[in-house]
Amino acid sequence: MIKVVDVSHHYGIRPVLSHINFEIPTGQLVVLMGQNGVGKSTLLSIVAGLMAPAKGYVEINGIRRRATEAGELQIRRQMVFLPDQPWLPEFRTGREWLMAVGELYDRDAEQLMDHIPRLLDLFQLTEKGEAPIRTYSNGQKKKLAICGALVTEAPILVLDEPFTGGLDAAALLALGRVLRHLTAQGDTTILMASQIGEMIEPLAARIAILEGARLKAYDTLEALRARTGCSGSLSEVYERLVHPQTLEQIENYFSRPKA
Amino acid sequence: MKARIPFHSNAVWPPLGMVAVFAFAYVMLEGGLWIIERAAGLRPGLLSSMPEVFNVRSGILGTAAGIYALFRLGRFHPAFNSSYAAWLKSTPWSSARPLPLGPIHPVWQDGVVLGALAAVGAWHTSNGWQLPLIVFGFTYLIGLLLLLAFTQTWFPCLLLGFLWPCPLLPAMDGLPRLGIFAAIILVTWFGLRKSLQAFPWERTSSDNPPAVPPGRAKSVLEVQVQIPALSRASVQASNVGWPFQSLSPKPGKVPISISTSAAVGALSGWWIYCLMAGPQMPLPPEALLLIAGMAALIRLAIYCSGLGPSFNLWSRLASGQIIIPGFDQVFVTPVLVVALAIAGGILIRHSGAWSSETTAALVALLNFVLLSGRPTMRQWLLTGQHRYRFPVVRSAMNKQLFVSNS
Repeated sequence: MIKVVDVSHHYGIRPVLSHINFEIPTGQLVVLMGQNGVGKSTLLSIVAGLMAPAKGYVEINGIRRRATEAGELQIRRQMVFLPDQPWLPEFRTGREWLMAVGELYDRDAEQLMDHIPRLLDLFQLTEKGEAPIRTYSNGQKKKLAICGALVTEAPILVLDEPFTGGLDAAALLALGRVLRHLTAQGDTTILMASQIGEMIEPLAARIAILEGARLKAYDTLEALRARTGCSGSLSEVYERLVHPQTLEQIENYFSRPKA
Repeated sequence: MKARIPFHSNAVWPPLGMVAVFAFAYVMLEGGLWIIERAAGLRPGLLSSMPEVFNVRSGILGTAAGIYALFRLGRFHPAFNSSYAAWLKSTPWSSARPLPLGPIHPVWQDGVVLGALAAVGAWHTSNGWQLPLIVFGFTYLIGLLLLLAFTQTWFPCLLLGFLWPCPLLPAMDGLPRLGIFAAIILVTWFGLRKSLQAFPWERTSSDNPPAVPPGRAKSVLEVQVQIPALSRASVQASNVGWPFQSLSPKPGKVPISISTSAAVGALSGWWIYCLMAGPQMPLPPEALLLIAGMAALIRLAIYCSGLGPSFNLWSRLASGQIIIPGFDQVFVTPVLVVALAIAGGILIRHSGAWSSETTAALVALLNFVLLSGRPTMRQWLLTGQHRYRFPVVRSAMNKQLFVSNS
């Protein structure tokens, strides 16, 4: 379980997160949505342990982040964070890097030998597996970074915009299926930021929407539909919640008679 | 039946190429002088008996002796030769047997090589026969000291750290100095045996502590002092990229214990004492303060490498959160060290007790505080209220140099 308790943060005098509270039960996939610059990546960084908040705290399976050495190490063993733009060691081959990441999380070498080829195959990287990462395209680097997160088999995944960064259609499909499979098993908890409604609608158990440094909504898609009175897709529900005036403006634009 | 690995003692001869290079250099010098003397019509031996020429000859002989010492260690010790070590690991070799490629310890062949260099020195230079022997001895012993550190044989290393500056002390003139050198040789020899017994050397890390054989106490130094560049675990960790390394479940930092801090503090104090009491190197309070300030800054730089505050000074002022205890704890030990250096300096100077002993004690105390002061690196990395920074890699090929803040 991930528990975010009264988290606030600011850059300079600009508040970026203000009194954020929510809980993600084990085995659920929660998607964080919001406009650019609203604090999604900051919140994910705080949950992942990359930065400490100005106020508030995060608990993972009942252990408070950065409270004790043993507790923090226990959390780190259970969680992996994939940022929007990770930095991968350019001179290592993809396969070597995946082995190193797996070993970092104490995955058995034999198990890794079996898992890594399957992952590379899933993301069409088998041929590039032996090549240095510097020769990869941006999309291939993103695929490899996703493989890096998956190879750890961590029960908690924190993913920042996993569907962006030049992924091709096959990779989007594969990633969607993998995430759905992981949550269907019931023991993997996922928190991710994404704006691609079509991809996340079939996956998300709950949706958290950030606006103006605050958590504007945190609920299931059905509950959000009921709240907005919109029976459409997640993108439409999101637009109605965050930009109600935009929808009106669009309707006005098209309803105006041609001169 | 397993065959005993033969002892190829004849293998320690220097390679022909090495001998040829130094012989060529020597012959070129002598030949050049002879030709110039003949061509200029000078008295034979006029140029070759000049002090400058003596110094050049001494330089060639000293360099030859030093390189020979490095060759003896680098070629024959598996710690300096990874492919040799890898092969040795696959054989039934143990430290009770001679090393298959040749011994590390001096043998009669070394006597022949050094004897030849000493003979040339006695015949042809003003420094006589001693210089090649002294250069060989120092290079060999210092090389072995590095080798002990490389193989993490810490106890003899620490002992040697205390013994090496002893000959500087005036009280050690004459016979005691010889005794100290004998002790250095003895401890180095003991360390060499210990390091070979520990083969194959598995690098230790906090997350993979070394197995302690039953009945043998492990020195705290063995598990607590590490050379990160030598650690296989750290090499792997440093190559997994960002943020995988920063958020690694294996931070690989071991807290330095009180006893280790005390040992290193005492060692630094001892060196200062020997340097001040021996060659009469003065260390005024101002210099001590400067050194303490630099040491405090180095600690701060190490702790803050790749890390930053969650929010900057402007944010602190704007939000009224001037002090962030979770982050500002990193300044406590460096400030304490500088304050101690100032207070100690003032106290000792005003009491009129500024001497090599009091200065050494103050240096030992400062180093002790610097190493044992809280938070430990591990505490800081895991529980500090900081932010892991995106690595700045100045590579033209790396196009992923930006990170969004929101």
